Amino acid sequence: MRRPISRRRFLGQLNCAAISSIPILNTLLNLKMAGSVAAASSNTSDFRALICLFLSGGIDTFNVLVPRGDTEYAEYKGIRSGVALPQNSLLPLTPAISPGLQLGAHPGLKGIQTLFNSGSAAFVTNVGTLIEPVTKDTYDSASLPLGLYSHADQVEQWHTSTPNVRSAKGWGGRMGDLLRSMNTLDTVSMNISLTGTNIWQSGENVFDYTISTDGAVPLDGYDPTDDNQWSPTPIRTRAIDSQLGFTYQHLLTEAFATKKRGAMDAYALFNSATGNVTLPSTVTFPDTDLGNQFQMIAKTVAGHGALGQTRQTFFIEYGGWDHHDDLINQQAAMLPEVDQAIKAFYDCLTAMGLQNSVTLFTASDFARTLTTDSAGTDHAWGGNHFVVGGAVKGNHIYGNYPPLYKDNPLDVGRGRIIPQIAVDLYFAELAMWLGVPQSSLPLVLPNIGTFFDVNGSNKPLGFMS
Amino acid sequence: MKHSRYIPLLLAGFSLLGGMPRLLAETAPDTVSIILIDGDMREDWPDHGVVGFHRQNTDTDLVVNFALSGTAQRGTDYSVANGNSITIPAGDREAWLEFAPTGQVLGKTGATILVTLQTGTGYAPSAGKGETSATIMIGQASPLPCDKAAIRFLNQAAFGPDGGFANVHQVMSMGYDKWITAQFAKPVGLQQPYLNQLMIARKGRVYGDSKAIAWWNRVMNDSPTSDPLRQRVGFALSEIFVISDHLDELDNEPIGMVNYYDLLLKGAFGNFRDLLYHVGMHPCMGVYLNHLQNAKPDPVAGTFADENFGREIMQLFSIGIWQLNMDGSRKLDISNQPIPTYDNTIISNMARVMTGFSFGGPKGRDFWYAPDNFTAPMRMWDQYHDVDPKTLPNGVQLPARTASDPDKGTAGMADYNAAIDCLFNHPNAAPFFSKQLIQKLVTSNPSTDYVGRVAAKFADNGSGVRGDLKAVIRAVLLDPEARDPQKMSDPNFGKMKEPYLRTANLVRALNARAANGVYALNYLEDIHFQQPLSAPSVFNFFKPGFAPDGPVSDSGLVAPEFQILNAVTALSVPNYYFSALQYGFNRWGSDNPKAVVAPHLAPEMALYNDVPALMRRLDLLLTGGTLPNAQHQVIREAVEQIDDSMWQWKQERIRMAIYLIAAAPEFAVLH
Repeated sequence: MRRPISRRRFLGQLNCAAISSIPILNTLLNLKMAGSVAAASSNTSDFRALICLFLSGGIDTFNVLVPRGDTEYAEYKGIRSGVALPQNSLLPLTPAISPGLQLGAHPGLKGIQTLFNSGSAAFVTNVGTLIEPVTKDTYDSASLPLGLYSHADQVEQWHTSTPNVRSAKGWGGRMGDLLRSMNTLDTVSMNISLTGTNIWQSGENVFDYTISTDGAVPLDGYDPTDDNQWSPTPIRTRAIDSQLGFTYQHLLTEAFATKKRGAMDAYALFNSATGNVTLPSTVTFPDTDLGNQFQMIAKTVAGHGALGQTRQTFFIEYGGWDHHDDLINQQAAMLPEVDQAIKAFYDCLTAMGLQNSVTLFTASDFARTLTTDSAGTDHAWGGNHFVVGGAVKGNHIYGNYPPLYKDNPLDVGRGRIIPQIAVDLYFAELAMWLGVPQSSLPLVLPNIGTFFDVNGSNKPLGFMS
Repeated sequence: MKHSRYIPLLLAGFSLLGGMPRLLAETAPDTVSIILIDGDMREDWPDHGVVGFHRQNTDTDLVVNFALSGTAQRGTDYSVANGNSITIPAGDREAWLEFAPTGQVLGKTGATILVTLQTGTGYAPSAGKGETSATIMIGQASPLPCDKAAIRFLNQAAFGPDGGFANVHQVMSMGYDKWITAQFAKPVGLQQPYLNQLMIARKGRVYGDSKAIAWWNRVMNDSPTSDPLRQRVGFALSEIFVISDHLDELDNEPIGMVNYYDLLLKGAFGNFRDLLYHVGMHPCMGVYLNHLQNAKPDPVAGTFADENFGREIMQLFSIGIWQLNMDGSRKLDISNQPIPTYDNTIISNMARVMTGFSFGGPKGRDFWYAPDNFTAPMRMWDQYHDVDPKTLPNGVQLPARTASDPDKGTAGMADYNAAIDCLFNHPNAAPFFSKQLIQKLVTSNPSTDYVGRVAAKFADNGSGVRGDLKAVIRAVLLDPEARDPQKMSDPNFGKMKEPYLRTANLVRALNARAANGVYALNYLEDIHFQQPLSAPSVFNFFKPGFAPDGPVSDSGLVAPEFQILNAVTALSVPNYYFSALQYGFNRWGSDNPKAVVAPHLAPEMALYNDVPALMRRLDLLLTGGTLPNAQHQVIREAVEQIDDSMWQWKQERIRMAIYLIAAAPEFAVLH
């Protein structure tokens, strides 16, 4: 059991210098991880996969999780005016323990409602980026996340969990660096993306392996099994193999060659591991981008054994939520697509007996202003997210749903709500479920010590079993 | 790999003692041929002349003899390894003799090196025609560029060389400076006319995919008035002043979006201040970043001014988030921390400047109810403009204004103009823009000196004018760091060509075109992870500060284009080339043979039986003559293995050669 590292000592080693700390941070992490921390949790020999569904653009989640009791609904309607959902359209959520007010889901989230009420999904409310706790009084003087309200910065901070410094490495990458020793093979990265390279899954050694909805991309005209002497394919294959063996002094040329080599190796293994997977016929995935992406994840999860992976992360970015205008119609069109894809995915996992092994969480740059500039809303801060999976302690609202009325104690203007749960806590719960030992959390989430005692006996938020 | 004759004979049981020892010792001698790999040298260009000595048998080391003659003097006019023999090591089929220029000024006609194969032990010179000697030409130094230099320049300043080398010869005969001047004088090549043609062809309908067709048709235009420099810079500008059809509302407005792109083309050689002004006034930008119909704050209704455009015009279009020195490095405060250029309060103030705009044009007579008009500049309504005082970056204060009545938008435009002036005159504007332009055209990691020199031209073009884009472009392309051929061997210099531009290179180099004259190259986005006007966000396809994991980021360098190089595009792009060489460059092919954008490979086909010559041509065309010898050998040998027993063997040879180069790192990365 490794000696835990205290927050003060950790920060001291960092020198707290905003820019220069990152190389030091990376070196520090390298040194710690070189010791190959074994995940100490008791049931880590089983398979686990974590899925990040990143709803980029800043999804207006005060129209996703909405008060439906009369008093609170009136507050909601008062401040949201033209972008308030009708009270009777909200889908009732009936948590086992009342959070003190009645809540409902956006009408387009029937699947999430079902999963929530049956215990396979939970909401985490008023989550956002924080360097340190902030109150309305300290708002002007506190350290606020860099570029608060700016897309690029906030997206980056949900990926990195370091709102005090800009970085291109993410907490999913750091998890990967830490946990990759649990996998027997790393031919295919344990961090798999359906939508391209991303910071969340970028670590020191682990990077994001991008696949498409058809799986990994093969190289056409290349086939080591083709021995047809009348075909140019064997000639081309041998030539490409020779080309792949060249190394270069020029940095960018070598970087390019390295990428290509890695792509070839990964394809071969991914193809063999997932190509023969037949998903349960009882589940039909919707024929949407998101549906196809989740279907591909289901196959990859099913093939984890052949990939030599007991730990996987997946990333899907589904963008277009920056609803400065036409919020109601846009969400009405987009949320059902999200809902139906997730529901089909969960049903498929259940049919395969893997629902306890896979957890999905949503993320977004920020939520949006409660106030409106008539038909849309602007960038804001704290928002609501949900987690789905058999291992989730569902049917519960984690955190305190904030008051919504104008100038309430959490409103710093325009209905921008100060988060009461730092993203670090949200991520910590997920990281620990995936296998990061509690005492090692600072290696994945450098700022966790500000919000959570890693040496204590409590869980960060308690939504995972 | 061929085995020597020893082995089968031994297996057959022949004794080495007595019997036929002479027969055993005398294996059939190996055949050696000379291959001219690179026969073009110039005294002022560092690229080596290269001759290869090739054999089949690889069992043992082989010492090959040669003689050097010709009009060039060994040692004075060129340098080469000592001696007159070269060893092909066991296991290798080739060894290479490299000739380097010595920088001597030769006579007017240049000089030649004649390499002649001599006899030696263990081999016989090839009996094939032209395979026992090779001639390398050394050209004299000149103020005008050689072909390799011109090709390198065209890869930076335009879309690469034409298959017929016409544009290469243009640069060679004019020189860089005159070529740039001539480009500045060309009339603006707009995309709108192509869109109009499409509308006619499609009976009045154009959709989002039409933009790409207009782009390709304009970029591939080869009329005498074509303006590739402007098109290349315009593309770079579209990656800085980003609007994108990923916003559905804009995807429905291809005419408006093309109108915006044309605005960038029109402004590419003008003044930066005007460019920034017009970018902000365009309704497409107004929709993309929400300052169209952005009303002033209303305390009663509880609404506020949207901050999207106010933020991005500073963060991305003009000054950036950190204060910069003229060399592009960040200014640091006394604690060694970078200094922000603005804070959230200033963003709110800038947002209040950007209030009151609505659709313009002749029917733009109302703020809320003006009909959509995506081609006329927006118009300002003082009634909806915040006229209170504002604080902008660099301490610029805007006074309270008086709304005009009747409403002519004069107060709002006074604010807007003042804000544009503020950003334009901010010290950051020069390095912020200059460095990005260098990264888009020349190299991902310019030295601070290079950035400083270009930024200085932005600040003052030499005649006291700030923001002269002609001066900036000229400075970017003619800077010693951009033109110095020694930088080609600097491991940290250069950039990966953007995937989309690599394809443009290939289309141009292979003379690809459709019989009907249309470049229907839409729907290429998923292959390349980019397409003009289709960035995933206002942050373009890749950020200027991106560095791929590994040696690049470890060295503290950046390589922005790598942000879209992943396990998908590393293979999807070569796959696209593989298909294009057989079926044309159209994404889904075409039922109409006249619409297929097919490569025209007559010059290559003429060389199907002279593979070294084919390789020399393609090496020059696709990599500016920089293909390493080992790579050259692999490709050449693959091509030569295709013989007449294969279907379409001549075409297959050509396709193999082109594909293996186009998919190689040497084509992807520009040094």
